[in-house]
Amino acid sequence: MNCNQIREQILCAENINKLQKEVMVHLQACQGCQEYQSAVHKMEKQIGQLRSVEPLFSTHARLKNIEAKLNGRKVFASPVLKFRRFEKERGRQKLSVAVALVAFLFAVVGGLMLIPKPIDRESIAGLRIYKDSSIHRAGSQEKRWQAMVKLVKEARTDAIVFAARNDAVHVKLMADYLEELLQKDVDKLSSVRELRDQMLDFALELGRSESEFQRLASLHSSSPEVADSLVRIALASKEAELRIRRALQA
Amino acid sequence: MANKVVKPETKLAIFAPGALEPNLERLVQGDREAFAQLVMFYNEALYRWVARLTGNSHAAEDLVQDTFVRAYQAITRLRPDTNLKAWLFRIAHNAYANWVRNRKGRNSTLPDEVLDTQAGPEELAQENETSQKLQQAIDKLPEEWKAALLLRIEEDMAFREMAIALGTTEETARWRVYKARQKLMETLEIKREDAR
Repeated sequence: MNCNQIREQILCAENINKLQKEVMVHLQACQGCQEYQSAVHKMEKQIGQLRSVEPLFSTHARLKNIEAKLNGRKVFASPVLKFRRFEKERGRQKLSVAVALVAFLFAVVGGLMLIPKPIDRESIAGLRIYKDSSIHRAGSQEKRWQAMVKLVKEARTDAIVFAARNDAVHVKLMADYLEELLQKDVDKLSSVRELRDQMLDFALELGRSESEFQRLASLHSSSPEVADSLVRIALASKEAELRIRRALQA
Repeated sequence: MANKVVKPETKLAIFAPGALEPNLERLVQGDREAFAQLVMFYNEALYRWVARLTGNSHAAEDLVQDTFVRAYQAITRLRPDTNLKAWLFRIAHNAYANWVRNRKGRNSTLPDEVLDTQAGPEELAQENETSQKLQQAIDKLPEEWKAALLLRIEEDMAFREMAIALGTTEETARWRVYKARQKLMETLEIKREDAR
């Protein structure tokens, strides 16, 4: 065997100090291989002498932990593993809290959306919502018509009250609202043939309303803004009356 | 080695510190006292080996505990000719292999802990350079080579026992030790030359 083969034999040996006879003979004659064997031996000795590693837990604690685990209890040998599991569980808890919060928010928002909003009668937008909900809530065409007529009457009354208070802003608001009601909504509903009698009554009422608002406008000549709004209501009433009559003739 | 006579108890943790070679016959019968002896006898050796492999003292604790729990669950299936030491190391090796697999599969949120050794800061400072280099060289070895080499050197395991422990053949065990030694020698030689 040459030196390389001898060194391979050294590296393969189960025990560096108990080598085959052939290898031992070679070692006695070859200083290089002898040094190599000493180096391997020294290295193994150093590995054995590397800093000792002692268990973190005593044998007693180990036995207790194993016993607990065998009895089906949760045992954490390592505080780090315990922390990791704790983190995992805490993560799950956080997730459930987040899900619960989101569900709660959805419930609150949904609930708020379901609660009918108080009607803001101080703005055209609020009045429009009130108007639309009142008309659309009605089940039949006849009821819708009645709802619309009721709204017109309410708005007219409000306009008269605001005019009496000389409240130009609100009279103007009611004028806008009534114009919308008497144009768009009356047109939509006046095509229904079954409501003929009711439409005729309403047309007559609008005719009376026109003259009433013209009279009121003349009374408020000192307040041009109020008078102007009242005239607009009168004109809207007249136009609506005419359109209803035309619809009835058609 | 003669067995110490102990008062029979159902609990495991009844023994005073001390290492007595476990009795295989009693183990097979599911004797808890014998099992406690087994734990005491192999606890440190298993821990030492697993800690060196994982480089993580906490993981080593968990793996060793897991090893003993698994061992207990399978103890009644042992044969009279079973090599207890090799069998236990085999279980530990399987647990370690699972640990490596799981570790690769997840991104740990916590950094792995440095192996908790008994040396304090002063001792660490005094530790000679060669030992540090040697430790680094061992750490760089492939897992299987390292496992085999440490069993050979630290546990003085024969290749036949090692083959059982590592779930391989005697020849493969020998080859792994050979490769580990060769690699270490090469690394240390290069470092020695660099130092010059």
